[in-house]
Amino acid sequence: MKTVAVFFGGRSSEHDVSIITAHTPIIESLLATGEYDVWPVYIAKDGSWYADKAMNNIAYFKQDGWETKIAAQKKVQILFDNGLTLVWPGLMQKTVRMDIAFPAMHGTYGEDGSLMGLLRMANVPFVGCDIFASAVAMDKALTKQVLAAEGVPIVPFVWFTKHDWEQNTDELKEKIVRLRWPLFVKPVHLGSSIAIAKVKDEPQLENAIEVALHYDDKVLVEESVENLIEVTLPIMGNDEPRPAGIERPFNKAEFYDFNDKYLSGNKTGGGVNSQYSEIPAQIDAELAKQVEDFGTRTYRVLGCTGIARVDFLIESERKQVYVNEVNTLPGSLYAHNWKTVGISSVELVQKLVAFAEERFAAHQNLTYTFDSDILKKAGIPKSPGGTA
Amino acid sequence: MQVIIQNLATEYLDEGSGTAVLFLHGWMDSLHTFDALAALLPPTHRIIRLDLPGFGKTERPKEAWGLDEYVRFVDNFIKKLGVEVDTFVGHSFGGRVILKGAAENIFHADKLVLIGSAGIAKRNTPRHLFFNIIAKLGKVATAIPPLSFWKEKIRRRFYTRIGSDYADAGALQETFLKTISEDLSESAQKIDTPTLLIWGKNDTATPLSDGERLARLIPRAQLEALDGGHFIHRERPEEVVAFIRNFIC
Repeated sequence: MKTVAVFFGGRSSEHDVSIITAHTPIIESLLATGEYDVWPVYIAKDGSWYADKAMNNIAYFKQDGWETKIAAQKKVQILFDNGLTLVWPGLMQKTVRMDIAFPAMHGTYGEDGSLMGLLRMANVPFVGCDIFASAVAMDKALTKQVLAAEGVPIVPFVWFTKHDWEQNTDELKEKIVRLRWPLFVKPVHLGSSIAIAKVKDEPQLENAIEVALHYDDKVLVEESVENLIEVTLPIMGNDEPRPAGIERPFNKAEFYDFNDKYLSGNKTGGGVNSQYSEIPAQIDAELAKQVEDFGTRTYRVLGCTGIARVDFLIESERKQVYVNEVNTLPGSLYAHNWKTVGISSVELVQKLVAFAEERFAAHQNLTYTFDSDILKKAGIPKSPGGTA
Repeated sequence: MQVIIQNLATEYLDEGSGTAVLFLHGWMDSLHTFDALAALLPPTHRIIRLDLPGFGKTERPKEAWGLDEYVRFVDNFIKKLGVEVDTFVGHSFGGRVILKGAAENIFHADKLVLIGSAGIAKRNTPRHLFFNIIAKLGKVATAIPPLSFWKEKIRRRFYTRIGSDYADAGALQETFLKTISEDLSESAQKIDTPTLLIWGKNDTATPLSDGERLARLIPRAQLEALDGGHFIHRERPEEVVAFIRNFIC
């Protein structure tokens, strides 16, 4: 039986969503296979790490005072010794070595590549995108720049840092004014539509930028696509990406916020609101083809592996498709969507673990070190302890 | 909608146009407590509601705040929106903030509406002294086994039974203590703005006697009592709105 560590929580505004993703479907499905010894690794909002199998049940996180209860537990430590080992220190020290890591962390310190870097250092197979794709996809502006360079259509935008905005407000405003209004203001590193605002005039723009810069140090302002059809496409795989169904959220508001995506679901919704979308999206065949083509191109260009979701904006009158952003850890893995193309949650997590092992095996065959005589040639004095 | 006030992301709703009415909610509540009132008020008003820091979707202050900090925050919110408030409406803790802001001449408005308002200290009542002794004895008794195993549960049940929000205040417990420690009886006497007091006759959190006391202290106050409890604005919104309409129109 393989031992799997599922990482969730984290120092992110999407901390709570991560708890849902970790349990529905990941932990539930891993346990259902009967093939894995599952260790939930919860990272609290203050960055403390805890691991306790009682946390395999999501009910743990719904009880009164659960945060206080966790804080009273012994913190878990990580040991890197050509593998990943959880360590509960103390007189009766306990250790458990992990065979596979399954990140279920959205947003900062988790989905942004930070956790992936740590897992690479530990030399353990891990599910989902690697550090490079994760880091690029976490920055909406950087993603657009990479995609634009590869000829993937994106909506015109202006980006800036907090420092830029404070120092060059007028210059940036001039650039922004030249965009076609109304505009969207977005923090580049946050997901779940947090602090995203649609603005129609300059006072709204300035307030939205102030709010976005409250959450992030880098912001983008982009043109709003009118006659909008929003669709999203989950994709999985390593070298041969496989798309799921094209999904169209129902338009209840001008854009989807955190509540629409995660909190307005019903009991059968699997963590994401099952009433909020249509799969497959009823769009014409040519648009659907473009979405699949641009989706898989985006997946490859960014170097995604395991799983990701590509979001699109479609100008329905001009039939223009734009890639909006890439999410390297879709909420609840978009298990509801994979079910529509015949992949159950259990099969989904099994495939993702297999992709992780495949990528890990491929990396083991790469040569990372080589012998050289550079130190001898560098003219560094020999050690005082050496023979003179 | 969000706006940044004192480096806190602040959730608010700003609907309609006309004379501005600003609503402040109670402790552990949110701007949505006024949903029914906002829907029933005529469209000739600009209705502004916000989540106070630590509640609803507004961020929690990094330090424990007292009443003065909440007053300053609301004042900064008003200035940021550039709005002239015609009427303040406050429920419970929101009423406490309004009492203080109006008495200190920080809030300027034509009318005030206080619904089940907090602000009258219960420090010296026999009931308060009795529960204070019980709380202190309970603290000692639950420090040692076996009661220590159920300390949190006992504590929560005790404060719920006596109608206090303290146990539920969570990270805001220190703020709760700071804000309730101030008796606003003297402040109330300084308010010369016409004030409508609306109370539930069966209110146990801020009993009708508090409303009667405020009616005596605030020089231009009138008290209306309805059958109901502390959340009278949610229990009987039509009647509460009728009183407010008559008062502010």
